[in-house]
This record gives sequence, structure tokens and C-alpha cells, in this order.
Amino acid sequence: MLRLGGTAVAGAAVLGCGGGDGRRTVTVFSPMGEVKNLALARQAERFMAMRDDLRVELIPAPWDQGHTKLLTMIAGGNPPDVIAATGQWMAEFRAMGAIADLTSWHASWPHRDAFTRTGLLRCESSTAIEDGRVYGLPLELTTRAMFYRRRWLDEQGLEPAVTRAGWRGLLERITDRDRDRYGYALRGARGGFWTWWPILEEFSGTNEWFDGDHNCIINSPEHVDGLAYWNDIYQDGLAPADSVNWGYNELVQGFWSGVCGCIEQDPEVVRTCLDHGMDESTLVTAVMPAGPRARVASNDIWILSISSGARHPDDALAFYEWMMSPEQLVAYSKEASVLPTVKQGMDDPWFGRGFLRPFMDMATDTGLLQNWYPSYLPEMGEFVEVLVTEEQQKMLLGRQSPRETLDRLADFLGRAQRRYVDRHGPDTPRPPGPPGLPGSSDQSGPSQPLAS
Amino acid sequence: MKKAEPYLLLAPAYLLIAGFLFYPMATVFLLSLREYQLMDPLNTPFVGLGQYAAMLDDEYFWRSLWNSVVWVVVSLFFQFLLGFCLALLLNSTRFRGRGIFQAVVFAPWAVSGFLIAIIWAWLLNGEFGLVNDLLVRTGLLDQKVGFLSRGETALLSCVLANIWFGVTFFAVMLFAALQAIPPSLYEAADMDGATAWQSFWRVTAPMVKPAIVITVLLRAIWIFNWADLIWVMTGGGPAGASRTLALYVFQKAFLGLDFGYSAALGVALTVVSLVFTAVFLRATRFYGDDAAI
Repeated sequence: MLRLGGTAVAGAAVLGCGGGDGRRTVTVFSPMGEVKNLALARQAERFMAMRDDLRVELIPAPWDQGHTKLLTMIAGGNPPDVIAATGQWMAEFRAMGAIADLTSWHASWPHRDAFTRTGLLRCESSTAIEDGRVYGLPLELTTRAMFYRRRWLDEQGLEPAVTRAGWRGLLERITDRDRDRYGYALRGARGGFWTWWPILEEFSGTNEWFDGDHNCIINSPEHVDGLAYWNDIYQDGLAPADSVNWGYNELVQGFWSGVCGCIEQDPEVVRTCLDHGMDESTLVTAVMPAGPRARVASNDIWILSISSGARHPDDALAFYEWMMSPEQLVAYSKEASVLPTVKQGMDDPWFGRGFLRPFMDMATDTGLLQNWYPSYLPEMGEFVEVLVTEEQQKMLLGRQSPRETLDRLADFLGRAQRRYVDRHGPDTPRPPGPPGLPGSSDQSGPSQPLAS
Repeated sequence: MKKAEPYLLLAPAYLLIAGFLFYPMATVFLLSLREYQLMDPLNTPFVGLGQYAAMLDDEYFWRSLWNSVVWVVVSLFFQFLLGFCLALLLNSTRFRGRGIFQAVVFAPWAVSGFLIAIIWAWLLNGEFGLVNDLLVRTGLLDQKVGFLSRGETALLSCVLANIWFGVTFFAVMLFAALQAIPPSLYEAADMDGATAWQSFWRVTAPMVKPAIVITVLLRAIWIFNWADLIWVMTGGGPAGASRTLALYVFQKAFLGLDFGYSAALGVALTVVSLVFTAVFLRATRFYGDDAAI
């Protein structure tokens, strides 16, 4: 019997429900986007073919609504049994007592040594593994790489850029407004922050947000230079004027439809591009260009956990155990075109070739600065979803400078950090350490002999 | 028992209204008195009217409220004007095939707001939109304009889509009211030598006034609370240029996860609606002895 640790925020659902055929149901929350949700659904079908007493019910959600939906389900007392969550969410949901402690099960699990060092370190930095206790295991690695329209590069005799300076020159060369061609699919609306924040880290050479006295430092001159770089792309007409209102859908569509020459995105967008007619002759992926002070890996991890409010914990664990086996993780990763978290997958040549190669390089290079967000702050939702969008759009419309933009954002976050410190004390979560030393901070340091 | 009978008969209706209307409203009001962030659900201190005080200092709130005023007034004015003209046209006895035309005219009202927003977002697209193409081809514009990406035009673009959507509602409602005017009134006006303008002003206008008042009131409240068209077309952007108060409530609750402040904004939204309704009904003298005149 799986013992569930932690205390659910609200009472869990009273009874588990089954279908009319008498099967017990395991609910799996999957906010990973269409391609990955579909891959997980196929895995669930395979599981159900083996277990005729269980039904796996997937609860899909778009990525950008996943956090809110999961939070609402948990706060409403109706948590899913199994949860797929990004590493950024883990500390928050663990603090709410929503995640089950899997340590005792994990201790005797035969595949406990199957995971890569990278995957386990990311689990540790996200607190899915902390002080030897296991709250979740790595489902997939995710990172960003640059997508280019190959023919546009070929026409200009260009190769994917290695540095930000080179990339800027590339955008200027491939932009041709008379032919409705723009260099960059800029994300000016919701989620734009996810694209420009790593640039600020490249220009500043740090992934810290606060200094030792908890003052927000994201408006330093180096950070301002990074934001000015991103802003200039729009001001100089290297991105469509309409892109000030672009979110994820418009962005990806703007790329595969031939309006824009490049975007940075996650590996599953490769599948989206291929589904819309792109192939090796029109698409090329490459590692992200390096800024003046660092090359930044926007790495994250998707973690599979079991809810502390699971209605049938043993059934949830049965699916979990099967899904996290190396064989199923590799099958899932291939189906979804994502990076595997098990050694068996890293040895598989399927992942080290073609469009996925640059992603693999970004995810495994320990010399890169790891992108990081202070997602422990309750105000981060408002910061990212409302405030940043507003302020970045003001800047893109020329109403305020990058300096003024970052001053306003730093002021908001500085106050949020002080409130957090007042409530929880000065030991706040810290970002991963400098290149070559992942997880050097107290919160994220390697702790137990879980990794191989 | 006899005395209690009417109350017992009315009780189920009152209980339903209390359960489904007043209870949620009271809950929202109580929520607005707390600091309630969904990301920190175990820490919800009572702050009294603190959220309301913060609202007064919130520039986004005032901007959203002003945008709501523009959104409602401009949309409503043109919806009413064009809808009334259309209703008069449909009511004309010289207009052949008006039955078919009436059905066609009503079609936009049957389309979901979400779909309308997508259609208009494509029509007004800054790169490939039909509107841009037509304006450039006809020489009215030198170069394409990002209607939805410019602060000056984003809200008005949404208003344009809203006008297109809402004209038909006015047309059908006012057409029904025009049809209910007894022809004998016009005959009497003719016999008294009234001009067409006098017939309109002295017969048509007073007779359709109750329908106009109630239709304008309903549409004003609906438009004030309607956020999905703007959300799909512009997301409230750029930089809040098209964000209305209803959209701000949604953003604060479901993007910012600040349910306490969002509840306070929701209460403000309701208060504005109630005040508008009271003032409007008084100004139009909807109730009273001279209501229909």
C-alpha cells in the first residue's frame, strides 16, 4: 500500500469513480500541449490493454492554462490522481501538500537507477527530489532551440547564428518587408516574457533575480541592454508590426506559414511544423545563440507525480510504475518528439539526430547558464500574466524605454520578495549555480545517492 | 394557513434565486474583503475594504473603466442607429422579400462571439487582412496598418466587430415593435395632414420608445460585461489599450490568480451596472405616468 505524505489543501474527493464497466479510474492531469498529451494518451491506451480492471482518464489542458487548472482542481478538493507538472511548479504544489511522497516505493523500485544524471539533478533543483525524499520522477527534458526557415538562409548564404550579434545580422538579412518577410516571430503578448528573459540572462551573465539583501536586480544596466536588444528587433521592423499582439499560436503559425524566418521553441513544435508541410528542405533547428556574457539553456523538466489526494493510490501507482519504466519513457519520448530522461534513451541514436539534435545538445551541455524563475513567489502569476505583458507592450509601442520597463518590474518583484521574506524567512529558493556547477545552491544541491 | 399559502407557493422560486444568485453574490463580496491569491491559498487574511482602496490607486482599473465606457457608448450608439434604420427599412411595405432579408440579417446574432472575433481578427490582420488589402488597393492607405496592434485603433477595431454583431439584435427587436403599431394611427396622422417626419416623431417614436429603452438597457449591460470578443481579438492589448473592466476581472482572476482583488473588481462592475440602470431608467422615464410618451 502506498503511503501518501503531505496534507492536501482541501479534502480529497470522497470516492473514486469507475465507468459503467466496473473498471476503476485513474485520472492523469496532462497540461503539456496537444502533441505530448496525445503521446501520453497512447501510452495510457497501451496500459489499459494490459490492465482490464483499470481505466486511465487523461485530463488534458493547454500548457499556458495548465497551472491555473491544476491549482483550481487542487484548491477545489478534486485533485487528479497522477500529475504531470513542470519543474517550476513543483515547489509550489509541494508546499501546498498536494504531492505524494514516493520515497518508500522508490527505494525498492527496480528501475531507480535508470534515470540520467541530468534528469535527476533537474528533479532536485525543482524539489521533486529533496533531502533523499522522492516526490516525482523526470518524465521528459525540455529545452529551447532556434528554428530557421532553411531556404531563407540559403538564399542569403547564411548559417544559423552562433552569437546574438550574428543573429541580429541574420534577421536583418532575411527580412524583406516588400515580400512580407520578417526575420523573427516575436512574442509581444502573453508569454513574451519567456522569450526575452533568457536574453537578459545572456547579457547579464546571471540567472539571479535578487541580491543578498533581497533587492531585485533585474534592472541592472546589463539586463537593460538585453531588453533593449529584444526591443530593437521590433522597433527596427525585423518582426511584424502585429506581433505586439502575438501569443503562442500566432507565433508558431507565423513561422510555419512563411511570415517569419525564425522562432525559438520547444522540441514538440518540430512536430507541429512537420504536420504543416515543413521538412528537411525548409526547416533547420540550431542551438540558441550566445549573448555577450553567457549562452543560456531554457531548460526545464516535466515531472510525473502522484497526488496526495489520489482516490485510489495503489491504482495510481500501478500506472505510474508502468509509465516510468525506461521502455515506456523511451516510447513516449519518441512519440512526442521530446528528450528522454533515461540512460536507455540517451544511448538511442534516434534522439541524437535530425531536428532533435540541437535540443539534445542544449539539454546536456553543463557549460550553459541555466534559465531560472522565482516561481515560489505568489505574485509570479500576476507578474508574468498581467504586469509583464502590459509593460512589455508599452515598451514595444514606444511609450516607455527598456530601462523604465525593467524599473517597474523590479519594483513589483522587490516588494513581492520582501513580503515573502517577511512571511517565510530569508532562506528563499535560489537558482541553479553557474555553468559547470548545476545545483550549487542550498535548495537545489545534489543530496542523495539517487543519481547514477 | 391561508395567509401562508402564497408564500409557500413562492418559496421554491425564492430559494432558487437565493441559492443561485444571492449566495454567489454574497460569496463574491465576502471574498473581496480578503486577500486571496490562489497561489497562496492557506494565507487569506481579512483586509476589509483594503482591496477597494487599492482599486482607487490602480491605474489599470481606471484605464479599463474608461475603455469600458468607450466600448459601450460607441458600440451602442452605432448598433442602435444602424439597427433602427434597418428596422425601418424592414418595416417598409415597399420592401419586397423582407421575410428572407429578415432571416439573413439576423444571422450574425446566431454566430458565437468567439467565431466573430476570429473572423474580424483575420479581416483586420496587419499583414494579410482583407481590410488592409482593400484600403491599399483603393489607394485610401499608402501602407498596411496593424489595426489590432496599434494603441489608437485596437479598441475601435473591437468596437467595429461588436457593431457588426449587435446591429441585427436592435433591428429585429425594433422591427417587432414597429410591427405592433396599429396602422390606424398613421391613417389618422395622414388625415390630420402630418408630414412623414411628423408621423415618425409623433407616432412611431413614442410607440417604440418602451422597446428602445429596454433594448438599449439590455444591450448596454451585455456589452459592458462582454469580454470574450476583445479577449480573442487583442487579449486586451496592446498595453491595455483595449482592456475593458470585464476583461480586467477575468485577467486578475484566471491569469493573475488574485481572486480577492478580482472579486472586488467584480463588485465594482456590478455597482457600475446597477447605477447605470437606475440613472438610465430615470432619465428615460421608463416608469411612471408619462412612461410611454
